[in-house]
Amino acid sequence: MALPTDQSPTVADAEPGTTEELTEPAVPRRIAAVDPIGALMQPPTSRRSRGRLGFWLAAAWIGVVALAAVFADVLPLHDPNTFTDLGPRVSPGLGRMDELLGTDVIGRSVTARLVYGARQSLTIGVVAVSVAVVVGSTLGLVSGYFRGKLDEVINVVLDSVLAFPPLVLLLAVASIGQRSVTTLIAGLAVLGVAPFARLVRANTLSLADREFVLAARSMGASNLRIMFREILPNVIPSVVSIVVLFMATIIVAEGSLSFLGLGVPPPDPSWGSMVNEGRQYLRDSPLLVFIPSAALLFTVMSLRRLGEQVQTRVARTRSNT
Amino acid sequence: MLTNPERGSDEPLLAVEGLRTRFPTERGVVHAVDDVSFDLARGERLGVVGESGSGKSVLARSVMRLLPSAAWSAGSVTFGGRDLMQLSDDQAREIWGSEIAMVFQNPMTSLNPVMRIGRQITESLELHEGLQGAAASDRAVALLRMVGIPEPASRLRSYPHELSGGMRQRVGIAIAIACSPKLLIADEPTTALDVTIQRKILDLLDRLGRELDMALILITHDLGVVAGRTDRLLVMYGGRVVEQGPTAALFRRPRHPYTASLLAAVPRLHQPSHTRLAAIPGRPVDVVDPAPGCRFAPRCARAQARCTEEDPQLAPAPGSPGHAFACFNPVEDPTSGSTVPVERPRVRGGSVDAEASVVVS
Repeated sequence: MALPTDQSPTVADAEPGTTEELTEPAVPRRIAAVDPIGALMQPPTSRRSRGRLGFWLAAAWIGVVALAAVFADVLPLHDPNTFTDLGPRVSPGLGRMDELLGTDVIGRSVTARLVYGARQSLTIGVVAVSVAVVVGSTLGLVSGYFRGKLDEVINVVLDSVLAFPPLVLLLAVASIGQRSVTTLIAGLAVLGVAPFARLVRANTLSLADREFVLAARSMGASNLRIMFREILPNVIPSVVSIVVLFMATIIVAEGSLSFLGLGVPPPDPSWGSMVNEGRQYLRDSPLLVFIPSAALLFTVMSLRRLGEQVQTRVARTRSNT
Repeated sequence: MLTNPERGSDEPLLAVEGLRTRFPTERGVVHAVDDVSFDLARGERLGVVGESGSGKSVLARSVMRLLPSAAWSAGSVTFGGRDLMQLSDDQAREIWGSEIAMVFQNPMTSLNPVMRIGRQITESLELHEGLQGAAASDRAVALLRMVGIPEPASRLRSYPHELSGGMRQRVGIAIAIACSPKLLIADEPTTALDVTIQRKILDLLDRLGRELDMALILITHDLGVVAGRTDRLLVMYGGRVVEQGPTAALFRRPRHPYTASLLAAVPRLHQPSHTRLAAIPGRPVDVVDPAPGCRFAPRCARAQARCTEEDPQLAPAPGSPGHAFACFNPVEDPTSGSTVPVERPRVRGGSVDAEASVVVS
């Protein structure tokens, strides 16, 4: 029972009939393992023949998920945490919306749990990534601009975080704090700070030597001003090109944690915990596992597809200037 | 240290005394600037010429105190009565941009690529003169007009990559003069531009210097740039000043063999084709842990034993006021049998004229 938590999307999402180079090495599959950092460092595959169809499909799916997450309260759905009157483990039917995807073990509407789970995953993803970007960028800017001892200290800390097996790090954070969404976000953000800090630091190191920085200093700009007004705007494109890809990673990480029982605390739904709950009934009601897995799969695939598009666009713009 | 006697008894705007700058590197200590001294009066134009690696750019940055933290500096740079070398970074930042400003060599890289040029100009105004909003924009438009950019109001919102090289350099100049500094240091401002634009930019710098009563230090490796556009000249080699004095005097009668060789190396249009260029043999000196003696000695046709043992000091040239050189065996008189053939280019109207007045062998 392989779960879609593995980070080798080219193997997972190859459409039939298209040829593309696999520039990513095959990542060894680790059951329920999370390797967000490794996945992040791999270059995007080239998709010349794929064209725009994949992009628009991805955009459409993400759009649907995002809208569902935002307007979950408005949709005619039952409360995802209490059982409906349909009874447990009912197959999908075309009655009301609650029945569309059936009910789970206790009789809760799978549709409702899927939609509210989407809200959970997206919220956690967006907040964790935002925190990681802000903190990571600041660390990277400061360390790349001032260098010296400060840079060394920050580097040691970042390397330690990066060297940690990500899952172990998340487990550690989850066990320290109370099991809640906030702890989850904090753990994921900590995981995300290091790659962004590294990226921003690398960019800052090269930008700080550019002549326009010297020109700004010769004009009397203070260090703070140079960092945030001159260097940061030049770093942002690189950050943007990675942010969407990182979102995908975070969502998978959250799903994995929830699957392991360490993520979003019950009874709040999460795609990962839905898979966990449906595991025992895989033989009789496979849909209970298949539906949330598919949702995770499509979301991660779409985010990666969008992220690669952003990366290519950013790279193209930079080569033009 | 010689002042230009025509300037009278005004307090010099800038007085550099014994300036030294060194960089520690893996290969050793680089003596980039070695005991340079000069004065600059208000509104005066000084040219600094030399090959790549002669220390001209480092000199400029040392004067402005814009060196990387690894650099070691000594000497005094007195500007407006204050020694810049003694100032803290915060105090220096008040002077940078408002009193001393710099124009850089490559306009492609000296402008922030992701910021509109209007904002790059108003940044300086905001910082030093506290102008905001519309007042700053109006000043920026006026500055762009002053440097000769057409349709300045609409250009405010352009990005650097939307402008040509010459226009970018004009923007760089506009940024530099935004707060009407008393001293403008132009570090090879025209090297990255083509010849017709070069002339326009140099004319612009001339005009601005006159209109704003701004002193100018013009750094270049191109003798044609300094001829007619500078009052005095500093010739640098290996981090040291080998000759200095009024530009006309140096062109007419160079005393240091290096200066003479530089002038001789300029190709003349009237020479028959395939004339061998009078290049200076060898390569620029590597100023890492330099040996005693004249830095130019290894390449000098007039070198003697003494030249590799003692450091020549700057001494006044007899019969030429304000003119000094550092050589034990100077070029005495271009017209009397020196081993370095020297042609005297006629300095006319701002450019080195193609015709030489006398061809000497």
